[in-house]
Amino acid sequence: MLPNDDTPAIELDRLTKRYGAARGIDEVSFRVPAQTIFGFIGPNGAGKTTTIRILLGLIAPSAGAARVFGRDVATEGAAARAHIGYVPGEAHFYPRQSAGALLAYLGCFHPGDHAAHRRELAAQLELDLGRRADDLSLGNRKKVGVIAALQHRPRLIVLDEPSNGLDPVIRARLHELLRDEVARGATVLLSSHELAEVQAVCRGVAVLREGRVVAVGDVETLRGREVRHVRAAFARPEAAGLAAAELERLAGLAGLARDGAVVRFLYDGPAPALLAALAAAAPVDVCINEPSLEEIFLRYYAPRPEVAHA
Amino acid sequence: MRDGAAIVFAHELRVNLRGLVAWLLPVGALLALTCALQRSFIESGLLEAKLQALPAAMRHALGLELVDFRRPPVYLATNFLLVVLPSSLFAGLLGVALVAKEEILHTAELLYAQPASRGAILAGKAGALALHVIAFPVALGTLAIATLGAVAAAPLEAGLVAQLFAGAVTLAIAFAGLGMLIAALVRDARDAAPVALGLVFGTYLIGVISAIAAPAAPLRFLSPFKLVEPSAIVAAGGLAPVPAAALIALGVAAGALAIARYRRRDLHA
Repeated sequence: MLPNDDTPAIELDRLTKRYGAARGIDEVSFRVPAQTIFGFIGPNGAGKTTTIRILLGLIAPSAGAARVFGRDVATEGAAARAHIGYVPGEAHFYPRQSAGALLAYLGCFHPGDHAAHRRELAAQLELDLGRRADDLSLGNRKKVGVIAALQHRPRLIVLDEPSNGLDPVIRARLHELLRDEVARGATVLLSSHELAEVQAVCRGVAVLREGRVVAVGDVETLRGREVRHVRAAFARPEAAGLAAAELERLAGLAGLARDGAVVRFLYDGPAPALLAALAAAAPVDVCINEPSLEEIFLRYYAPRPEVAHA
Repeated sequence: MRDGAAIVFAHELRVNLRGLVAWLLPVGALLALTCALQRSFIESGLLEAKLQALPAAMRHALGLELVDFRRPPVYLATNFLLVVLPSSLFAGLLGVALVAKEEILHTAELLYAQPASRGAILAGKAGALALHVIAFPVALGTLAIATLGAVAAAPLEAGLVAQLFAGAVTLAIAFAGLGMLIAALVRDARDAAPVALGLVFGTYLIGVISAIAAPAAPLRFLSPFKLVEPSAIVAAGGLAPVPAAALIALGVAAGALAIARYRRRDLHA
């Protein structure tokens, strides 16, 4: 096991990146506790990759600070990166170099001999290390990226959209590998727009929207927020339409959709107001559930309620 | 774990060997052929006749004023464009490539995410670059000395021939550093190679124009080629130390500036 203390694996403190007038990220703050798999979710362009690139020292922040195991990435970049294994979103390699030679080259930057672990990982991910890295398929390139990140047994593994291009079997094996790494003592930051993946493997999560963090917490806590998924069925579509119009007036309602005689929506307002509105519309069936992470996510990305007619 | 600079140095030295050989083969073959023909050119008087046919101003502009081709250094100096232009192009383009390639190949995330400072990585690249750009004219010089030694009737004057190639080395160092600087300054890494090509050819042409047209004479200071002109080296009996040192200083300063600038660059590729 690796040493375990209270220092967070990642600590972002009002991290900001501006590109002139264009938005990068704005005062992004969250902590990733050690020995967890932490999800980092948001749509394309939300600023996930910008945040990761600052963590890796590839771009400099305009303001704020990022620390990896207490080391500031701006002033102690190399020392911070010594703890990191990184899987980029798109894996690009040097021409005319075998996957094995490339991985050996990258392994030189880290202490120890990684050859045996490299071969073990290649076997687990079914990758032929003798093939030219730049000739590999998208999925196999991604495997090379994963092995490059894991071969030196880093304390922090940062993955940017790791499942792109991986088939379901290899994807499951990757998740298994990540869980093994956490059991060993490592921490994982998994950036993804695939909510099912985050929900399946992550304990904590930060949600990024338009360069800002809009929610941080445990996946279960986030799922268990006051937000509820409500499905109400009515006797006739006309009744559903009238109910939808009534429900739209409720504060805390989002994502209202009507499909025939059924309406669905997310709700985080007071329960009596909801029950009164539903009772007035006389539904034949009401089902109130915990929403999926995906529904919560959509809740944050569609703040204005819309009625979708099937 | 080895030092980051040493790891990158060894890697770049190895992966760029193919390029060095690819440049050396055609240029070396042409140079060896030119050297091998020295005796027949002298006997036929063809080269001398052709040069004498050129206007004096043009001979001056192209550095072709020496005519005693029996002397190997003179013969070589007359044909030295075969060495300096490829050496300078190779150096400038390799200087660009070593800095810009990570962004062009989208491998910046792979390399600069490693636990080595950007300065150390670039220092490793600069070391490999220096070795390659020095190796190129040195290999050509060795080839020229060997070939002329075998065919020339007159004494080889190997020391003077070596100084001609030393001049080419200083030019190569200057253009290598400038190539690195161009790659560090341009916004889009893919623009760097054309700019470097323009710099080498442009400064060469400035040197020629400054020698042809009197009003343009002050422009010669903008042409590194004029600082180590082969005809001047042979006429003076050796490479002038001040211009040679100036070219090396230019290359080193440009390389250092490139590293300083690139350390602050945001890498998005």
